[in-house]
Amino acid sequence: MNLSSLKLEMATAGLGMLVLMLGAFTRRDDKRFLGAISAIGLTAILAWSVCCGAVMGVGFDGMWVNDAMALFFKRLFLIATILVTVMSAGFAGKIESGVGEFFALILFACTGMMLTASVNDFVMLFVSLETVTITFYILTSYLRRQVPSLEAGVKYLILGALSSAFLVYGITFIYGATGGTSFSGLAEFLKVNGAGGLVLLGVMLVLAGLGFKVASVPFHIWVPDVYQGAPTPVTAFLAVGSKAAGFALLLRLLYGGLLPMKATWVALIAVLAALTILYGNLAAIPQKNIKRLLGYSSISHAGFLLLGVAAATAFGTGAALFYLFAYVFTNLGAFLVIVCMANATADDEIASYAGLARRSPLLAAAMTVALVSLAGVPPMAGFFAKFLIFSAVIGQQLWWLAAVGAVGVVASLYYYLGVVKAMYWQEPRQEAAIAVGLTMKVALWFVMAATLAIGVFQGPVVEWAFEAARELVK
Amino acid sequence: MIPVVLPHYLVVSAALFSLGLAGVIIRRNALVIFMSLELMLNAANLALAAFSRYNGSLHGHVLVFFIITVAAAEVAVGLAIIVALFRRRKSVNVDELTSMRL
Repeated sequence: MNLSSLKLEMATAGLGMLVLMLGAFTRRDDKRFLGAISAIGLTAILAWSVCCGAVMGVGFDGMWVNDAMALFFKRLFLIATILVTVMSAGFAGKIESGVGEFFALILFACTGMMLTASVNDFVMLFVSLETVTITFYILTSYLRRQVPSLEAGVKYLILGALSSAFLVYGITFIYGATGGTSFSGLAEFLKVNGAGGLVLLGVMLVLAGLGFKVASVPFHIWVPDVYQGAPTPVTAFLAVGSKAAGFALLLRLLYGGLLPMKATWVALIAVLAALTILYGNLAAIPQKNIKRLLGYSSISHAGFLLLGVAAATAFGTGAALFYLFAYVFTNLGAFLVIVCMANATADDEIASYAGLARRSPLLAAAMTVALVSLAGVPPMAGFFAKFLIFSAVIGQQLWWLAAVGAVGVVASLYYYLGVVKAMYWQEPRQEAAIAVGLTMKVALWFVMAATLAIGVFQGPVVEWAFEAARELVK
Repeated sequence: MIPVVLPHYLVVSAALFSLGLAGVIIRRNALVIFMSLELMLNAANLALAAFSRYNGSLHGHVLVFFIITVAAAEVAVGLAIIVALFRRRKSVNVDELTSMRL
């Protein structure tokens, strides 16, 4: 039972090693074929998880849980990684050396994220989180002759290591107080002794470490610079994968170890959510670089996800899971366009998007679908996700949170639609049409279709997300 | 002769952690900042080993091994990034990392 419940993770790590090996035997010009191998391999693992590869249950002395929520997150990470590898294949021309390693690292990061989904112990939490984070240090600074990429890497490294230090120190106090590292041990301790002293300090430090991962205010300082400087596929992966991994850990911890102090964390998360939404949306307004804009927007989306967590019901958690699912397709759609644009115009300024509708109608349409969905306009996936989150919050009578969320949505319409306006109603700087490769075209159509389809036929995804949430929030 | 008990270890650990944090906040050299971060991780290691000894369980010791391993991986990656940055900029002063602005 124990090892077989790790089948999916082992397969992903094995695929990463295979790609690493093949990279050594591939000619420099053929490296994009490694992207194809990664994407096909991940699709096979995804199919395997649906048909027969998923072994449910608790393993490794209670450290490891495979339940509906774990499986939901694992599939989410696999889908996100498939899209990121396709995007990276389109981006590979900009990577000077080590294309094989680039794909391998993406697969290793995916393995780490899949591990986070099943965590039920602080040792597992620390190790899985660091697997993701350290891999991302390398990926962020991968364009090692370009100063912005290196700068982003150093900033992510210093702030990431700082948050790991807080996390570890917090785990130390929890261990000191409870005498163990399991979530269930912490829950029992809190039930008997209440929250206070050492253990409360420990819990707050751990939550600070996780707040860094999900990019919630006040642990968001790294986001704009790292998002702007990192290679675009890595930014996309940070925005959807790393953030979702943070939420997987947060939900596991809140409903596993911290359930007895629910009243405390609901208040804490509610305040953080409100601050995050306001900061992310207001700071995004004056941005001129599209990646930086999406960085601030990703802070605001972390806020909306925290709203669902703050509702602290099965409905709220299900809404947050649905939101993450919609966010993967929506956000990766926007980043696919950014990769195509950066190949053509060599910068990420919003000004370069002026008149894009005339230069490439497909790119302009894909960007519009993505931005409109991020803003939460019907009938896109993002609209239904926000609708679920707001119903969950209002269902808990948290009117002030709903009001803050509404302010955030209105502010976000302004900056998202500003980009749409530039693409359709401004004169282009150059008239030359932008060529888009076949793979990227297929990916763009797929993501657009998925964003629309999830918005219109929400039923199956909602059902799936809520089933996962119900099992977590008993 | 005062016997060394758990609180002594915790005080030393807290002092190490605070020194590390102060270093991260005050110093401007990326290498020194990185060193201070490692100090913070080792503060946690010291406290874990002490707790493990006084709790009478081995979980803490095991976690210490994981932290040492992860810290080693972090150092390998971190120093490589800082060296690459030094090659480009001829400086590792974090105040000069300002190529990205609004």
